[in-house]
Amino acid sequence: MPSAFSFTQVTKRFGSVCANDGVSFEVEAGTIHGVVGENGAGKSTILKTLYGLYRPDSGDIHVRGEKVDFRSPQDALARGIGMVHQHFMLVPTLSVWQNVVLGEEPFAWKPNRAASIAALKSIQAEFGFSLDLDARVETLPVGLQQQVEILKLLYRKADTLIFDEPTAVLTPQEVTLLIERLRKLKNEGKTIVFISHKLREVLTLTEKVTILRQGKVVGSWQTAELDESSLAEKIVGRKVQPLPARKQSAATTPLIEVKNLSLEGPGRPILQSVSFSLRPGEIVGVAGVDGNGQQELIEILAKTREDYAGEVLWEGKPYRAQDCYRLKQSGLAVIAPDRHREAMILDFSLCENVLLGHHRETKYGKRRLDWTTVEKSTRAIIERFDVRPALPQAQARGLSGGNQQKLVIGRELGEGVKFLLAAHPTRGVDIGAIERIHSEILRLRDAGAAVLLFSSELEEILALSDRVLVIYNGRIQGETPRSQATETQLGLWMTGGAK
Amino acid sequence: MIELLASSLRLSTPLLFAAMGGLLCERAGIATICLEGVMIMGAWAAASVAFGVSDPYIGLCMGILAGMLTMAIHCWLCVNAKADAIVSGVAVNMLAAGVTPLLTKAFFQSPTNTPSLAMEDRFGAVAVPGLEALPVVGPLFNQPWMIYLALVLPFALHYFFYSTGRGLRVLASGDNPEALETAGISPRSVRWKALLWGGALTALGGVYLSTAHASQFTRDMTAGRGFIALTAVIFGKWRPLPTLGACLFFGFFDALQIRLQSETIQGWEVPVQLVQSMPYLVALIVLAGFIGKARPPLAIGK
Repeated sequence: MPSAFSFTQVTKRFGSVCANDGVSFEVEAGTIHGVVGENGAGKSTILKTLYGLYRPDSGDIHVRGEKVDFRSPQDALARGIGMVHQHFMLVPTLSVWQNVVLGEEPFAWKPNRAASIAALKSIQAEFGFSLDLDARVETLPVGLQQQVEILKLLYRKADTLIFDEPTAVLTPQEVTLLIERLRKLKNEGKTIVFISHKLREVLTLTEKVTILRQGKVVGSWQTAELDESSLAEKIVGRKVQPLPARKQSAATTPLIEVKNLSLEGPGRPILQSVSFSLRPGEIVGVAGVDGNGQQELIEILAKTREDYAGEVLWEGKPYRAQDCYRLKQSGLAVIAPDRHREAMILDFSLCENVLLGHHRETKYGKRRLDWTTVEKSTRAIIERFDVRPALPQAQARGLSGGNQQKLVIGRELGEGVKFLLAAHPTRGVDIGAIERIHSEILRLRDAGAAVLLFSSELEEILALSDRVLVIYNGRIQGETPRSQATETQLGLWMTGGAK
Repeated sequence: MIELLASSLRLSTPLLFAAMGGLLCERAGIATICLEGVMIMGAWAAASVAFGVSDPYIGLCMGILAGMLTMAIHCWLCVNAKADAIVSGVAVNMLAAGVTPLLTKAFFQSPTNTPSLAMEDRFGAVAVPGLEALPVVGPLFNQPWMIYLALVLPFALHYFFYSTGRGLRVLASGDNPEALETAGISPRSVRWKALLWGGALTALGGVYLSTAHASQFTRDMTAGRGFIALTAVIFGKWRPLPTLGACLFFGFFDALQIRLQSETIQGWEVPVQLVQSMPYLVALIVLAGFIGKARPPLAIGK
């Protein structure tokens, strides 16, 4: 089959960090090709050089056999290469058609709407899309926003479509739809590049995979030759350990009791008399489709909202009566669901981020901050969780999402944690780090902490929890010990099925 | 009454030019508190050159050029040097407030004003054929031509933003420049063009003040109109047609203020300071209380 594009010995450095180190591989036209690796392995970087966002320091890129030197995305688009970014590049205030034609409008100085809509209608018909072209993008759910991104590329007649972690933001149902859509695009003759670290999706969707590790190519394989464990091994570079056996918890008195928690939202209830309890040395997983009240429950338990009815008790004392600082001192740790908004400050250094929320601890100095100690703690976290790049003074913004999350988790899982609220602890995190985070959570449990785990990945819930709750429409739809939980039963509860 | 309306129109005109210029810049993603400074530079250059060469049109061109240059400083600082737009804006305002009296003194030996322009060196009233003879509303159609231009501008800008491809790029540059960049268009070049055009429009407000409304440049003659124009942009929620309404509203209060200065209310002479402060008070009240939730361009200042 002819080559869609190829890299030959491409190297790209950012300061002292080498993101791509002599990367060479080829993608055949008309196939679905997976580019797989951990966070920071250089997957996005190498394809961004193809898309003209970065220029390689050395090495050659060929598109359909011809050597190219792209200076901007416009050059790449002119050669039929388009990219759907992990964070969508859409203008939220503009309509769908405006976003699609932006940069390549039918007319510079004349009205564009009619011509644009006519062009887009035929593309929608050809590729089976049915977006409302006049809808404002910010009103669309994430899955549809992603379709707008795809439409942008089809409108520009791209024949090679690069998807950077396209499933990271999608619900399981949307993932299924996306996979179908990508297959359909392939059947229409497009070349698809699928950047991901989710093994299952890579194995079901792709025909060939190229694996990157620490900026270098490990190799390329036919997907049919691989299975989940061999793929994971090649990505991480060593065998992935199964989770260790766990001790049974002895405690019977609950640490946290939630009683009849209710919350009114605009026009409809968000939480409806939610009750459950949590014992020391126990992990309780909360499963459910996103948007069924998890977010609000997390906020209440993290002490960031108070406008609820009902009661939350910590060792019998009402939550309401205590302030955040007191709770943190008694052992509350939170892994926030949205790390950029709630867990870190991107413009701060790693050190400063490690200090966040812990600045009153005496080990960091009594009157003045003792930055040497802060840096020591930061180094310890960096080492324990393998945060890359390992520079305590670097800006947090420069880290990939997975590395940011590792830093946050390292900070939160410090000394004396009695109640860990872990909301999507491994969202956007690579396999090696997931393994690390999971074993830390289990270690914490074995040390006697109570853990409440929220996750949209059923796999994760089942791997870690001692007990599983399913939340649906603001209610606890079902509860079961881990040993008796089946994916079918949980799936039924998650969609509102019988109790 | 009709005289009050005509006067409102005349006083809305500088606001309109500045507000439309500001709107163009702000929608491209650059905050422009420097409208005042750009107006001052435009007013000074137009009055000085029109006097020097005895031609208002050459004065007009120079005024526009001065405005574009002033805005170019702001643009360079914000876009290329990545300075904070507020700090840069303040700097430009101070520069304009300082440089114009200095130049006036250097050229015309007076620190406060440029020499008066002769009648034929100014922009006089132009009658709209047919309409000026109408009873009652006739006086509204016998005004300097810049007023008519100012009234057409918001509609032109509305068309530009919401229909044309180039306008779309300006909106994208203000709300998410990254999206524009990945679509293959450089936000930097979009912003430069928007700011230069914005500078030209804003300068027209100053040109109007010194060569049509008055017949010379006097120190601080803009009297905060650049800021009022910015208020009008916010009041109009960053959209051209509501901003037109806001400018007319503020223009009306300015006219009312002049009218009331010579009035007594039931024998009580209203203190002139109170009357003069009215347009500013109205602007303050509007900003504080009546705009509701206005959403500025999302990427402004980024």
